[in-house]
Amino acid sequence: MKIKIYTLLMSFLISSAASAAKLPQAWITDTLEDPSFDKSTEMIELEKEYDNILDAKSQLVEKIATKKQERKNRKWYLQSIKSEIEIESVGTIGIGAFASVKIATAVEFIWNRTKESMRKLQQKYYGASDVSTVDKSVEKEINGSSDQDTIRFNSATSTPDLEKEIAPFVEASFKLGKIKDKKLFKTNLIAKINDYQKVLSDLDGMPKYTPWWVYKFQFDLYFDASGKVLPFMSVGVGVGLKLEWYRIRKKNSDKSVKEMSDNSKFIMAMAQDFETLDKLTLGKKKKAHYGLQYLKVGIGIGAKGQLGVAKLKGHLIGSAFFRRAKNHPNNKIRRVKLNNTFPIIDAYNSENLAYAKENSIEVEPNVSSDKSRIGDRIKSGIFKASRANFRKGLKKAIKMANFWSRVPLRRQAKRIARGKEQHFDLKIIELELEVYLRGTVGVATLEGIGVLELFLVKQS
Amino acid sequence: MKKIGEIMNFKRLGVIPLVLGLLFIASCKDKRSADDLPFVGMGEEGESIVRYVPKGRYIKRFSSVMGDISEKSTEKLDKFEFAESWILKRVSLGLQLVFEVGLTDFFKWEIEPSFELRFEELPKPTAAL
Repeated sequence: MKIKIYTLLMSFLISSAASAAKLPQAWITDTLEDPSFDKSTEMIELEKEYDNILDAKSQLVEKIATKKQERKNRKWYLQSIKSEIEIESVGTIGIGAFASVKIATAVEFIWNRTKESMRKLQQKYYGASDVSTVDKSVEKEINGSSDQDTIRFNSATSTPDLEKEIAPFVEASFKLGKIKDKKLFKTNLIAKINDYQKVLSDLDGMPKYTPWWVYKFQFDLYFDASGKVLPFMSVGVGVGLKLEWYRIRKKNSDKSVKEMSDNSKFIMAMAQDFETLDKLTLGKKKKAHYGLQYLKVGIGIGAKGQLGVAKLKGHLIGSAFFRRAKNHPNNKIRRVKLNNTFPIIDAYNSENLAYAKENSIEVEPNVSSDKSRIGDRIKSGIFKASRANFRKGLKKAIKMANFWSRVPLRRQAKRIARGKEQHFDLKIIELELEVYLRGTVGVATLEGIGVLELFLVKQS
Repeated sequence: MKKIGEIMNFKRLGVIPLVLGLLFIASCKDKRSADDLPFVGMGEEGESIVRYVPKGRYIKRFSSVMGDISEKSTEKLDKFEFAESWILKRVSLGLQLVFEVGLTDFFKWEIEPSFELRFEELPKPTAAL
């Protein structure tokens, strides 16, 4: 009965899907095909649709800024606005509005208050002609939330130092009634941080061959009033905090491949493959453009402590952040020889196993004798994805990134040419990509999960 | 220590105007005109849902709703003070509230506009520091 009514309603709603613009299929599917659709009618229609959506969002953002303000004094102001575009399963782009199941975001936009707009606010409310500028960190914009729920540490952070670092957070959680047993919460939290330190510490010694390097890991943790701490949300465990592990890049790290751990090799291989994206980072220095500044990869930890790209939501426990060292040449001569595959943690089910067989992907079950590990809750496997396919996927990502950044640049140029005032500037475009089990890459659609994020930052 | 939720009830601040704003999406069109905006979603069976909203209506309605929320939020933040020595540095207000519109006893339609407004203290001019 439910399905019948639902189908009836849906058939009514879906009636005009055909007239909406769609992304090339090669962008949203598990394919190595290079679409090269740049001059096709479909691409022109798509660009028009994207421009129209972006225009609506830009106008909306500007209207918020120009709303009449009646107050005479002001301390707080709207500093930035984040919004997004969704892509549903067949590639139609639009504003995400309704879903009976959880949807994923494909592209996010962050508009920052312009310096000129800030100067005007300061003049209006402080009456000053000498105004200060604000140095906005792009990383702060990416993270969004305040720093106050983030605990930072590295491999060298000792237990007494950790205790000092977490003390304000434990105290605040206790005062706000989020936890009842401070001592137990502290012990559990430190134990969890020590677990991460143990897994990540050998990454400090990775050799400096690649311009891209992992500089931090970010993990989400959840806790409950009793002080239980888990890396995933569970029944009754719903309050979250962030952990950030920062890599100490050792000066004399020159390990040979033989000396490197499997985790270091995995991270090193990713860093090498990200050189494929150098076209988005280098060049165009004179013109305004969106340059790739950061990369974020969804990471899971396998049952034996091995790191891998995590596709399974229950196993996605954090993110690895990569950035490119400034002025580091793309030195392929020093490129070290590593495995041709990288691990992906995903469901160990018949569908994925059939896919693995069809595509000759090696797979092993993610099993541990430690019952507290998440690997025992959901059956998962470690799939060995092809790095060659991943690099081809990244080449596809260059085309996508160019598409998403070309339209805002053109729109802004038009606005400037018309002499229109601008209160907000589209500073960051965040492109969310899905990585398939054989290593191919596509845009995260409503059905997918974005495990690789490209942060394109406006450079003027 | 005062709890931020006791002083600024963001849910109360945003829910009523947002519901009004969102209900209009629930009545949006299934045929498109020239610059209508596509709203996309996915049904329970994984099928695509695409509907259209006139661009002007979308901008007018949402800029009004979000402008109000922004103004009321900054006004409340101006008056906000922590007890003890805590300092509030940044507030992110995610308008990713999911509303369920009950169309029948069996079917609910979830509406989720996604915006995040981020507020900070207006920096003092250098000379005034």
